[in-house]
Amino acid sequence: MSNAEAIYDKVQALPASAQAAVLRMVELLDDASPARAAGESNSLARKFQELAETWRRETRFFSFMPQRALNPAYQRIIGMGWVVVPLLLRELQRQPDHWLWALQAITGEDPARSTDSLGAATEAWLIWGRARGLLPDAQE
Amino acid sequence: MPKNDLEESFPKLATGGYRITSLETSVYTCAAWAARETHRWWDPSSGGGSYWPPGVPPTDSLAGLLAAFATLGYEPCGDSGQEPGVERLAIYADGHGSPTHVARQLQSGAWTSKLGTAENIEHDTLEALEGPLYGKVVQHLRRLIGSGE
Repeated sequence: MSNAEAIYDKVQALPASAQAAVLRMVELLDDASPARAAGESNSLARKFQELAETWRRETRFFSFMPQRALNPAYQRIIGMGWVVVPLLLRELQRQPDHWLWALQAITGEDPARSTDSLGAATEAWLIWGRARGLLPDAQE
Repeated sequence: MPKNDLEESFPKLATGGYRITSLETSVYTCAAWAARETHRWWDPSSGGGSYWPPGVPPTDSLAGLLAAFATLGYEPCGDSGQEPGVERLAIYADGHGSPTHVARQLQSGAWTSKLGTAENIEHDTLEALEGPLYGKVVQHLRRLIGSGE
């Protein structure tokens, strides 16, 4: 089974509204030239990192989520939609931070609903992401 | 981040006197720190991954914060003076009245603050954090503490 076929299988677990965006990513992986697909992926990752860094810098002194999540850079990340979910999950894995609002807003899901700490919420989202093939499986 | 980033963001900080007392962390908020907790993000509006005292309406208004701290025995008072056996908090709010920050008074009379996801600092005056980011102190709270506090 190719990577694309495996992703097609995982997509069945996603809400209908998310499937079109993920399938578009799969088409890029399957049909576009490797160089073009890699270029688009790198461009997306660069844009995400720029926005993430801007958000951290501009909200670092704020404690209440409305002030943090209404920041324009954070809103632009949410506006990027499903295509940015794997990047959000990887960022959450690399350096836990308050990406929970963005993940919830984009996906419409809240696997961390019953948690009350950033560590527990991060773990819940990483489990959610791995179950959908959006993150590599945890190392044994 | 360099120290001058703090002073640029809080123009009165340098003249008010302050000391950085911790590393940066995204684990807890100013409200958690005021409540002496360092393991969870006190925030009424975050949903999963955050904490708000059970039974307190999840609103990020001044009334919501007062209700949250009332669960710990704090009640509104009129000033920031220092009294033996009393611990005080100060709540900052912006021009719209939306809370932006909570500071806790130390036994020395100075104040301790967790600045968002940045460092904790001790600051000698409440005015040191007033300005464009946090607005002004709009409410003082007090509670009696035991001799061991």
